[in-house]
Amino acid sequence: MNDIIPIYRLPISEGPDPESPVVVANHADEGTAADNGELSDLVQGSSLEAVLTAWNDATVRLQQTHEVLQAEVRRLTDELEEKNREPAQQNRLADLGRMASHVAYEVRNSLVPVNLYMSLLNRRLSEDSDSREILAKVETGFNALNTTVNDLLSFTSHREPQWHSFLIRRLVDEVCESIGPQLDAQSIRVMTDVAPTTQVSADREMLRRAVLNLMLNAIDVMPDGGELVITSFESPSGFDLEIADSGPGLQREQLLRIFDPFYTTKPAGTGLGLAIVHRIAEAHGGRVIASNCPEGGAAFTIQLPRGRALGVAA
Amino acid sequence: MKNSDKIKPLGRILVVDDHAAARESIAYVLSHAGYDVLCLASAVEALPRLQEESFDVVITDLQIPGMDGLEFIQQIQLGRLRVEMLMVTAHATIASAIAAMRYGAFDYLEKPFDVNQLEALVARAVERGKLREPEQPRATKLKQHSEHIEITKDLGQRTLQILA
Repeated sequence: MNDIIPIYRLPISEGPDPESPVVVANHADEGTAADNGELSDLVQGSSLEAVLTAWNDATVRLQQTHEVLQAEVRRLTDELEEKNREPAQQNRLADLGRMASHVAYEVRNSLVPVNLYMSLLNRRLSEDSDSREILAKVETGFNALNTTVNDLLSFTSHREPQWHSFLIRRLVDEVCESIGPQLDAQSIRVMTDVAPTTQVSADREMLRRAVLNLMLNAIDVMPDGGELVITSFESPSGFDLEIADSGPGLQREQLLRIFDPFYTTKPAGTGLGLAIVHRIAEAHGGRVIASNCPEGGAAFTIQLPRGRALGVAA
Repeated sequence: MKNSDKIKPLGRILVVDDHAAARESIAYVLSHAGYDVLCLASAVEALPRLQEESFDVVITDLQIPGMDGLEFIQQIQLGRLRVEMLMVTAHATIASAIAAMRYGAFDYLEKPFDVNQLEALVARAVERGKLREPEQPRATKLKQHSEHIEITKDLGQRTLQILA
């Protein structure tokens, strides 16, 4: 490629000009010197015009190919750089994970006296409603802090799925039961359409965490009540579990960023709940998709690939 | 406890945790609940005390400097020291919980726990220690067995909670 010398267009009507020679690759020197006389004889001929036009066309095509190849080399170089950056980024993430886990550990230790004294005080103040009201506010702050620490630990503790076969319906029912009081308190009706006999192969505890996070997310967007619909599908590509709410739905920006770590629209959110779901789905070779339901509200679908998720029951 | 001189303590508890504020708060709660409590920062300090003195329950953190909590309870087992062991941990994993139970821990609590959880578990540990005394009548043995079933059930549920 580097041997190509730029080609100047030959003025057809006036004949060749020694100052602007037609030169191609390695033949440049002999071409210009020897052909000058012959070219002047042929310049009147119509065949020369055709040859030069073809030559020019070929030149333009060659130039285009050259540009395409150059762009491809640039793209591959960028890709290589990107690939080289990945291990460095992973190391940085691992460092961040260790730091987050250390901070979480320290915070949890510091929360021991806070929780113990707070619960002791709560017991002693059983008669004093004004003080209990204040204490309840302190407790809310404590719970938020504890949730942050728990989320941070869940997000940073990377683990490979421990694959087991289990009934997905039972897991969904278990999660619903564990958040029953919250569902009742906010008058949220749950409808479950998950086949009772469907066996799924996955890390049960990881999937439980993902389902729980999606349900808690749905509860948060329906403070004044609503419906939570849990549906499962089996498709040729795998197994889908959809959790839909009747809340306000997702705006465009939310749809784009909702699984980003630390992205949150809640006043007291950590922005890690859905990022954890995303990470769990990916660890299973699947994904999680956010969308708006046609009838209103948002839906989150965990998609697990068929090969692994719908394997033989254990 | 102000009246500890007059009333016999409910039991003797040893708290081992390198986090000063955490162990002091545990001691505060338990001494106010009527227990006689000793606090230490490491297993290295705790082992000789356990050999010299009698305790009903030892509450130890899983991550303590020098000798970690699992090694500590293993040493207690090897030394055939008669004491109930409770693990507390800032980051429970299923592996650490299983290991603790395998080494003979009575139960585990994940930090930060509240007064009711701590008191209930310590009371049960003290009770179990008493049931372990030799030459028990049949009724007591039966009670002990049903207690064990309850503990196992409860443990299973709390293991699930930790993993949630």
